[in-house]
Amino acid sequence: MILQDIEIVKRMIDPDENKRIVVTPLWDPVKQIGPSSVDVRLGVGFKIPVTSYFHSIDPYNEPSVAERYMSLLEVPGLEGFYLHPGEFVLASTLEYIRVPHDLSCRIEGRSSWGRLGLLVHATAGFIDPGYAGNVTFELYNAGRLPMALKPGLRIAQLCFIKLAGEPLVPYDLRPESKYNRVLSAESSRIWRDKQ
Amino acid sequence: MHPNKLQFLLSSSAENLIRLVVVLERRRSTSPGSEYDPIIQAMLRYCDEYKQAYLQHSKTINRLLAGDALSGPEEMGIKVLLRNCINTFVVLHELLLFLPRESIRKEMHFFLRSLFGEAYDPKDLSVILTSIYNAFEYSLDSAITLLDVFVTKIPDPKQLQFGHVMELAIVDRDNPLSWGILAHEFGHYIDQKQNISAPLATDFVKKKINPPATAASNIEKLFKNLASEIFADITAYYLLGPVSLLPVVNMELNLGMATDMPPSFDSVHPFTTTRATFINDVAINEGMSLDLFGPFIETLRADDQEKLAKLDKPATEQRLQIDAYIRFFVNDIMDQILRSLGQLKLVRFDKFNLSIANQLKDRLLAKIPIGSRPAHSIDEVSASIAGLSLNPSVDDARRVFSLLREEPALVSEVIAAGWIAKSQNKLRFFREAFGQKEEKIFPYLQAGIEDEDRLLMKSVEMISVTRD
Repeated sequence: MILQDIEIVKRMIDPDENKRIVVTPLWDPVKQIGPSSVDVRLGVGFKIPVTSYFHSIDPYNEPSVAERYMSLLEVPGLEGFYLHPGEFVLASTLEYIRVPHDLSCRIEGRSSWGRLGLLVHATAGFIDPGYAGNVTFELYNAGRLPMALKPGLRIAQLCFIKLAGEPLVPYDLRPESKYNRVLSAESSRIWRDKQ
Repeated sequence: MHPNKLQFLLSSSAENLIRLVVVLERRRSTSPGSEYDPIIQAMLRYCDEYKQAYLQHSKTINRLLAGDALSGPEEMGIKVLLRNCINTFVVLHELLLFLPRESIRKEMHFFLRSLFGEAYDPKDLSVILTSIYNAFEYSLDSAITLLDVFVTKIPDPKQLQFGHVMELAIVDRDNPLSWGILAHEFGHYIDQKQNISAPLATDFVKKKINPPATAASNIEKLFKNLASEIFADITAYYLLGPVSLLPVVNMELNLGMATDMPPSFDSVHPFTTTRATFINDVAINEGMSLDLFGPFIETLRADDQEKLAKLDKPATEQRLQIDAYIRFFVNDIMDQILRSLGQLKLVRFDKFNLSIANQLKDRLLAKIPIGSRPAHSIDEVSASIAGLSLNPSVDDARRVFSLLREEPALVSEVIAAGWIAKSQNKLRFFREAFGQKEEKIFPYLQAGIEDEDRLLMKSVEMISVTRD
């Protein structure tokens, strides 16, 4: 069951902190709270691929490459970042979020940006119960023209899904979790996975 | 030794070790195989030795942090550890001079611009030199002279009387709590540009001291130096509130570990305890105080008292006399300084901001970034939801949504909240860390310290997007 606006609002002020949805900063809730979602904004840091030093990614044989091949670029407040057609970069939400144990969450693009060709995640739009932190965008320009992206733009939305019950091991209590409490665009930590 | 003081100094020393390791490891990981690797590795080896020394004492440290009384030899062991650490760390910090600079964070510029507004012009900057252990401000010309950039011989780090250009960028680049010192240092720049404190000193010497002609010049110079420091302190206070002094107190405590004697009067800076007293006095007048930062201030005062007790009677009297004179001087010029700052149209930090900072502190301790704060309480929003009819109109529903609005915090409130949280949480955090299994103590410490920095940095970043 996907939460509708008033349920999201109630969860944002739930007296039980374990049940409370956190999305902060929420500067303009009237604009940001949709019928079944909350809009989120683009944060400041981008991680761009630097390919020159590496011939391939082989995360299990060269674990550091997966992290080092994305290089941090910070864009001051009002300056733009130009995402060219076919380019893939990591970024993050400006908002810090916390998903209660009895909900999961999905991040999706906003339709107006989608129509221009902006994809906000490559394939990983699912956020587990118990996750806390900023959400990493996997931005891709599928259009034909470069796209000016500025910190603070509302480019995506979160929707919250009620689970059938609380998981026994939520994301924040799972030792294998690699991205909990991440506060900026975070490179892949795939090398931590033991297959 | 005052037991809380030893606990506090020990945790500060361990934090400094972690911060140094983090910087060195970051340098190593961003340029692996560079020509600086051997230097970095040698420095990391020293840090590892000190980690081992801490671990060897971990049971004693654990007991100390739990509030147990230590035996004489145990206490001596900890004091020797602290003394060795500070001496080594100061040298290691100086050696960072040899590593390539890192660019300073844009948030640091944002911090200064937020505080000083139009008075902050990045195109017309003085050079601010800081590290964990010291901070100075120079005009660009005098910095070039002092740095002697054209010499070919390698400077002896022990002879350096100043910090390093933008060393903050490399040492405390990611620690927003340390940025408070920039408000003091930039206050010097404002002072020189506007010529505010020097005439106050001249006037004071002429009217209140009236020295003989032979001594007049030296006395006036002394009071001009003091006035400059007092002005910078009051400027930082004006912009950040009582928290402005915490970075100075922290430096004093860190460096103070190296000696059993009280700091001597350098003819420029009032004693840190004196600075704490006059900042506290003006804060109390304005409904604030340094009490929120209890452990830092208590430790500073306990340290000073213990060291003063080691002075002979004439030296004690001399110190008290200097202290009294400085306070007399401060009282004389305080109102004029505050009036001058008022004319600069800076954003004043007042008790309302401190109460906001106190609220933000709770969110910070819950590990949530504090770039904003709710405009309405949970109770207000709940009442508004309860007041909705079964089929509310769109306007009514949106009115409820609007109550969830958050307002951007001020950077000064974030820094104040960070210091309040640190004051309340520091010893508990170190107790938890040293309660871990031996191999987990330093990873736990490092994770906690980096977490604190990241949360504050993210908070500043959030504000910069709103206010830029």
